[in-house]
Amino acid sequence: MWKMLLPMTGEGFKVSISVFLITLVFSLPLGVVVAALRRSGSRLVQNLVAGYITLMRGTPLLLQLMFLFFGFPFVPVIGYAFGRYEAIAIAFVLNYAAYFAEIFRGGIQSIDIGQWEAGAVLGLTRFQTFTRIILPQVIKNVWTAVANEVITLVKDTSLVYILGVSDLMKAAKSVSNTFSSFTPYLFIGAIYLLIIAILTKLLSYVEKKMEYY
Amino acid sequence: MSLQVKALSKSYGNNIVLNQVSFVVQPGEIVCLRGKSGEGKTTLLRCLNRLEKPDSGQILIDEIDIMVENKGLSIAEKIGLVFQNYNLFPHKNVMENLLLAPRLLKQGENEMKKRAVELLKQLGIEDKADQYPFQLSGGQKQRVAIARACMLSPQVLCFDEPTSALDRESIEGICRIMLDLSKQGMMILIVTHDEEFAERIAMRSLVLEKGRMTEGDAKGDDTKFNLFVK
Ligand SMILES: Nc1ncnc2c1ncn2[C@@H]1O[C@H](COP(=O)(O)OP(=O)(O)O)[C@@H](O)[C@H]1O
Ligand SMILES: [Mg+2]
Repeated sequence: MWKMLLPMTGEGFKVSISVFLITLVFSLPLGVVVAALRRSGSRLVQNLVAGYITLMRGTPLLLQLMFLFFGFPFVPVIGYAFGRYEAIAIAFVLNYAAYFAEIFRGGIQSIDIGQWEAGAVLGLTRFQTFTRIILPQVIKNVWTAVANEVITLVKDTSLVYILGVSDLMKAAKSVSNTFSSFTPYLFIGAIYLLIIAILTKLLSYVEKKMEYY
Repeated sequence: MSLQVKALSKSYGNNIVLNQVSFVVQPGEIVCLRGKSGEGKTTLLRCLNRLEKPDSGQILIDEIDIMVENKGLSIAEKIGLVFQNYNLFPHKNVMENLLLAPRLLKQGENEMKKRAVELLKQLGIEDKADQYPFQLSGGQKQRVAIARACMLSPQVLCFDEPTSALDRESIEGICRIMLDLSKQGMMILIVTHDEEFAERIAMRSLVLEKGRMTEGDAKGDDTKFNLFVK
């Protein structure tokens, strides 16, 4: 059994970690942009962004995955058949960006308006003030909330099994079926646990680093 | 070279806060702007530092309307503000607080660093360069805020209630600093309701009442005033 489980777990690990990393790398910056757009001057933009966030947070990620892969090709005019991995990347990034955007929005609002004004009086543009003065403070303020989402993301990657992708979960399922044993599930459970333990350490290490002020 | 405010008006809804306010500040002058709470002193400073858009009127520095003209020197290099609560950047140490704006405005790094060290020395906080705002006392924070505003060598420096959070000793210190700056030709406009402090520092007083600006009683002797006019 282990002869089959170990290599399949290795392959599955690669898939799961890729989903995790791609989602983080794209959804975090996108979340910042969405949070900034929510504060934009245009009513229309504000409403569009609010609608997007409601949709993403109001429906299960599993459903969003299925819609993008199975449903989207049949949508009139804009319909398009995404590949499995494209559908996964788009669904995860859009979904997590919405959650991150809400966290960032709260974080931006929590910064004293005087910080914006200090930047303006010193001749900085709004963009410079945001990136140099506001955002670094926001990141510190929202770190715990973002860390929670990151941990959740690790576990959410297991949802990709619904599109028949060979992630950790799928690996365990295949081996379990072949050998009529539950052990593979326990094994990948331990792997998830290990990943999350390492991540938690890493995240709290960085959090401590930011405690300098 | 002077600061000229001409018929400046600002309302919030029906609340007319500034009603055709006009005044002039000459180089080297320290002018106190007094008035009861809620009379619009802060609003005036905010308009001067373009944190608030006036409904009408002109603000001229060097005969240039800073609300229209933005060529050459940026406005931040003409007029600066020391906020009542300082608004230092908490995630930056003192030196970084000073250098942030000059760096972004693409001024020479070495020159700016030298200027920063000089300013900190002049303000008596050269040993605080590596500290973060949370490690400083109120008076020290204020000095950092002054140094930060001075980094861009503005011709006009505004203070909003500079003595509100200071003990006696620090007030002495800030007086000396203001006199020092004015000797260098800077125009200093101070909003305060601290009568004693105004008496001590002002070469001239302005009073804001019901949206109107009037010249206050001539406080201090004129010789002091004349000394600093170039
Ligand atoms: N952003 C604002 N919106 C509406 N009213 C304001 C705003 N800022 C100030 N005001 C009003 O303008 C008046 C002057 O305020 P302020 O300039 O802070 O007075 P001061 O500094 O002299 O105490 C007050 O009546 C205040 O309520
Ligand atoms: Mg005030």
